[in-house]
Amino acid sequence: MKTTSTAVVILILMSALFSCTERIDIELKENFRRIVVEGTITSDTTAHRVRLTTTTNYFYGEEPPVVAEAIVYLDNGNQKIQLDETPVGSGVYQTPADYYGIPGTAYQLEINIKEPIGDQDFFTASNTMPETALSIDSISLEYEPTFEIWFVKLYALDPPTTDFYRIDVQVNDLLISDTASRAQVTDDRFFNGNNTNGLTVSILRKDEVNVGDTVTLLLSSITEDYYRFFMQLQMESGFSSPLFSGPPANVTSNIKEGGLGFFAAMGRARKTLIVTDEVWTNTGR
Amino acid sequence: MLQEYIRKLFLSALILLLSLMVLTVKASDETPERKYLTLNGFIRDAGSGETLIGATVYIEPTSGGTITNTYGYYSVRLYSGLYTLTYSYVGYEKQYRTINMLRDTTINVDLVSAEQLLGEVVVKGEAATERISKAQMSVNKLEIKSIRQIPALMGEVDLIKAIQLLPGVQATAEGGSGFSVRGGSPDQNLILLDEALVYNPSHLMGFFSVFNNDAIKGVELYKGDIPPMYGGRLSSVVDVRMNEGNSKKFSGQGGIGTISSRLMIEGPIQKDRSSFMLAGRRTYADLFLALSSDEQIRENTLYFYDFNGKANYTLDDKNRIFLSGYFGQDVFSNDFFGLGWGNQTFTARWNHLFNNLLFSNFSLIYSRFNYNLGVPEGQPNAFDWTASMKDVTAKSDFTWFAGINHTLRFGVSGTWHVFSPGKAKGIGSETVFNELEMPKNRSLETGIYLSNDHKISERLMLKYGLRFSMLNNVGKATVYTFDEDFKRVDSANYGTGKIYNTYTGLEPRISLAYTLDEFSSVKAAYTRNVQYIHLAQNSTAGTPLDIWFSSSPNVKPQKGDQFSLGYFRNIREASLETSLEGFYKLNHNAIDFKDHAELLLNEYIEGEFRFGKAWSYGLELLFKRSEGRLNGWVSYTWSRTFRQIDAINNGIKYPATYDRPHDVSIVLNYELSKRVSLGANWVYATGSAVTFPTGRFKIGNTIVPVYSDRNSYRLPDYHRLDVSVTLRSKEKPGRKWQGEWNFSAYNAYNRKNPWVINFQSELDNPDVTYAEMTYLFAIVPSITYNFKF
Repeated sequence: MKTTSTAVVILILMSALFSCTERIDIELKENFRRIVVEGTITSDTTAHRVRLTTTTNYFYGEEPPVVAEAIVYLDNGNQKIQLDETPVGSGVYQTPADYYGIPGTAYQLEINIKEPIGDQDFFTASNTMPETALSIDSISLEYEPTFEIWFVKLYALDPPTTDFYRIDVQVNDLLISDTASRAQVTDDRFFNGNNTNGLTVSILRKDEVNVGDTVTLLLSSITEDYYRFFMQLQMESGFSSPLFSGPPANVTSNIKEGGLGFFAAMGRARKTLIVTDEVWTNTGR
Repeated sequence: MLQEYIRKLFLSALILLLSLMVLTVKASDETPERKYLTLNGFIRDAGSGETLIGATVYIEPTSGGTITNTYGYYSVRLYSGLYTLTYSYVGYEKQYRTINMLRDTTINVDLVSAEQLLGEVVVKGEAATERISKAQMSVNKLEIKSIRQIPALMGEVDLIKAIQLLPGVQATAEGGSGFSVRGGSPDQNLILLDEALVYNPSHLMGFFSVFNNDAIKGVELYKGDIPPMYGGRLSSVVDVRMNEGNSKKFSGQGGIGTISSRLMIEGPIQKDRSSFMLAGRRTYADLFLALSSDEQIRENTLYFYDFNGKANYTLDDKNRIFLSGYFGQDVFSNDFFGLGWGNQTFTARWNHLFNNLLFSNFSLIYSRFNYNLGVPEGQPNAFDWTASMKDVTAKSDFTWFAGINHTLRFGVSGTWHVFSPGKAKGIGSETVFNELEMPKNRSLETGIYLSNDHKISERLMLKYGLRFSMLNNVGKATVYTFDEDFKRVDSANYGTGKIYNTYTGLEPRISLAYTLDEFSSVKAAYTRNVQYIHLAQNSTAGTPLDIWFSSSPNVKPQKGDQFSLGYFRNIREASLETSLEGFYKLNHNAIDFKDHAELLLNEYIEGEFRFGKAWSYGLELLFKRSEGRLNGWVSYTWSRTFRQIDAINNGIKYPATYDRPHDVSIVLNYELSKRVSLGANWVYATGSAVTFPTGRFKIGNTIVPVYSDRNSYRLPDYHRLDVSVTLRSKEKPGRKWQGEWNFSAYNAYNRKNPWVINFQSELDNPDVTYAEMTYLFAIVPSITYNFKF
């Protein structure tokens, strides 16, 4: 939620006035291994991916080990398809490239793995793609000289239902919001049923936008479960402070039988802005 | 039905207790030859006319005595006869009177403070026997004079930081104003300023407290054995009293410090009858921001200020009126956002003596805490967010010096709470935000109590009492019903003024003291406390963004039982007061918050609460020397604190964050000469219990920690030394102005005490993770100039 996160930013800044940081060595116990599922079905027509990895000890220092040679099914209620591991041994399982999700459909994921993890070799997860009707009127950019950042502003009409959104930004073909701290999720409490009227939904660094670039905003409608998962992901991976952070806690998951991660189905709309000379001038850069 | 039954039960118990007391009072051995007489009066400071709280009257040959109440009044019943009276108070010269009691007698005494005695550095005094014989344990009293001698952060003398140095008290976070008493939560402390509740005693994120030392007379901290006149909190009472003002002459004091300046003026309105006190303080931390090389920091506004004011009028021998108020505000803002918070309190009191034996006080109290936060107009997503907690209280307290062996106390109080947990709205004509207002929460908290200080024999003192408390939730309100998974299933609406829920509580408080010999005693106490309003906060240091909520159909009152046992000994040769106390404390219906709880701007906040129990136990050892060139205290506390909440940590018990088994405080002050004194304090505490990751996984390019048991790790142990030197100006006859320089160093050996440990990914390679500690204060030197005139 925007307001609370602004409050948090203010408090971080206040505490930063008095504090210093330093790396220290800490010995941590090891936890038992668990499977991690990261899968997304969107309304886009593309090869949708499910990635299977495992947990590691905290100071592992490398890419997580992948879970290869699993048998993964995607079931939309009418049709159950097996996802192919491409490339073989990568732990990434994909739908055919012409596959697209349909809003209102309940998707079920079934995973059979060869070697049991935590005494389990079968995992399931399900998620229903929200029916929120999405359309973006336009997006714009505004430059903020003090902090040397770009505000990405959204003009769209929010339906009267309770909705949850995820916002991603791509510049040319590069996904900027590939970490939890750069992507945004929000509920619609503050603009329910209204036009978002230029709400700042994302922030880009000064050097991330140049004349001639194509900035694409992806607006996804997500379930409340996924919204909570992602908020928690941001909380647990971000900076914590005794001033405002509650006790650390595990991020929830919708993977049954003890898995971690999330299998999400989301409807998606996108809008593109080409940064022409005229656009560049109007941003105040 | 049940409530009706409880009410009847309570009434019958009260009647029974009352009649028992009257009977015991009447049954004393009064005969025409041995008549009861009353000795009473006020004890005051000779220099300022300020009443002295807790001053002792020692009566020989009864080998007993009494102490003054919070208004400096004492009253005692004696048979006719010849007595020697000793009036004493720590840091003051004793006075002796010999009287032949033939009729009721009033003796007002003005004691002369040691500072005003020429040629004498310190007064050596006897340790008070009252401390030994009185049936009151688990209490610590601090005079503002001794608080001033403790080296302080940036030279800002701070009452809350002094309290944190007492046995059984833990700061919840470095530099913060939050504290845990005997394992209780910070919201279980009843913090009163002239009887008015202070919801949030912190300035500047808690680094400083709202109590300006120039305006404060002293503080009493009850850690257990809380007298029945106090109610509403489980763990402690911090009773802070403001200066009344000098009724003899106009004077003032103040200081210019590293981060703030202070000025207090006081004087008579009508000599010896009425006086006033006004005090103000403002920080100038923002001046330091201007020195920063960072332009963004330079443009910030950051300060706090506060005002205290008090006036009192002595109408006649039997009536006295006090008016006091506090107003404080914190401001932090720049072009992009603003944050402000503050407390306001106002107290009007009327002391009335019905006769020499019946002392009464009537109070009307207003107290408010509010905050606002926002992004100013013209900035993207501009908004404004406000919240407030407001109390209006009416109360009356009576002390009846009923007999030689009985002092009865009774009273009633009622508080009307109105909490506005938050209202957020967009600002500017193009705002995209809807207005979002959390429903207001209204409740009425009432209490009545009766207690008796009962002297059974020369050796055995008993204090027993009962408090009956009640909370009424009052509409307008919407109450949600939650199922066992805390999912919202239903709601009910109640109209304005409708009482839709009632809780009652019976709170017995019993303690006894058995005097072994002139110098030592054992004491025991059992108390039950009920708490009806709670703070929704799950961070340790706490922010000003407090949300208080009352018990409701979904939230049962918290109940606390505490057992304590102690041995008290005065070592006269060394002027040492020592005590060893043990306690066990059980908190029923303890409140905690679910994982990743959303506490701010959440209409369904009651669904975020989880309930269980909390318990703690420990031993506190204290050596204290109040007089002599070397004074101060050494305390050691061993204690444990656990919680068990079904929905947290899989229902397995876990240590609370402020479970810090070993805790040492050494607070020393040494008068090197008449003009130079040295102060030092050293604290040591086991690191607080924290949760660290035991594994990780990766989503996108984000590393996510995996945790095992809650609070199963410890931060490194905390320790710190603060030192100070005070140089006083030479006293010259005829010169009113007295100045002193205070040089202090906080964290003198520059210990890096972790405030928090974060687990982070390297920016360019998120797979490489590391632990990073944040510490707040390296060595902080400061200079303060204090003056008196």
